Amino acid sequence: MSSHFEDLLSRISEFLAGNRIDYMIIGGFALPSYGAIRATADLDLAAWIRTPQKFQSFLVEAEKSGFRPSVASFSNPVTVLTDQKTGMEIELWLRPDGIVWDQETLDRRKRIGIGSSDLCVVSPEDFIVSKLARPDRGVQDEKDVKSVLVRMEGNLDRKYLERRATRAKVLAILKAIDRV
Amino acid sequence: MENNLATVSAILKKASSGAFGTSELAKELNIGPARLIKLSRDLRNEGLAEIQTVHAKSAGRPLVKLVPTLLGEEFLEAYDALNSKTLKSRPSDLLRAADDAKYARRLAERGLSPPLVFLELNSLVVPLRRPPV
Repeated sequence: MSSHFEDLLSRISEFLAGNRIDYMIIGGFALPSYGAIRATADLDLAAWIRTPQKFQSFLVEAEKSGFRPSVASFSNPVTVLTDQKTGMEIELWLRPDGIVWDQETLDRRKRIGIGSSDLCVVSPEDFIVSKLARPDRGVQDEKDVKSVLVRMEGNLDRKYLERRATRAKVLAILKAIDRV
Repeated sequence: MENNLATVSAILKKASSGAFGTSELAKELNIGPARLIKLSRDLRNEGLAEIQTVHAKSAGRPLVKLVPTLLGEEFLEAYDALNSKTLKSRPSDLLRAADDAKYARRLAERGLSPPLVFLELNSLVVPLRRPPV
């Protein structure tokens, strides 16, 4: 069964790949790849756009491809793209909350096939750290982390996870969740 | 500090986010105006907040608003740092999350794709804001 979300993911990933923009799915849409399955309306992407010039040309191409930008400024960490086909909003993060957005994070992305699309998704380790390092971390974030720790048991790069968690100052909270 | 730290922090955060009069602030924070007035006085006495008067462009009474002082901002920062050191969820929440993860793992073991199941669930639960054209 194809869904409008599948169609949207396919179109946005094609658009980003076509414009040679490295990206990864973060947040709730990344969760089912590693943890529990729960519905969410929030589609968050991190995009590797490093200069204002590239950002401006990205906005022009996005509009042409049916993703209308709003709150669009290079100085904002996030830009909202509204899909003209479905009305859905995509939060495109230039500087994602709680993630050290560097080459290593990019290299550790996973390619995950969903339907006919091949999508880039944040690594499970960076997903965990980003959830814990959010300034407004809540119950759902901790539940998401727990679900990833359980489902990915034995398949996480613990050394990398602990290094990133230490850097984000969330190692103790990670261990507390792991112990339950 | 005699006041409840979470309430004090909530007042300072809200006060720093915009120009609110007492009644608006009380409504936003879901506390009674009388209690808010008392807490505001305590905050001023403790050096955490001060009163500013905002003159409206149109005619009418100027708005009296509470704003955090530098000390109040430091307090907020320290409170947030401290608050991040506690778990927000209960053990039962985390145990339920673990069960949900095991369910997703079983689906994967049976050859189903959890991301695809997620997309199907989402399409049922999350309505489109606008019908597809």
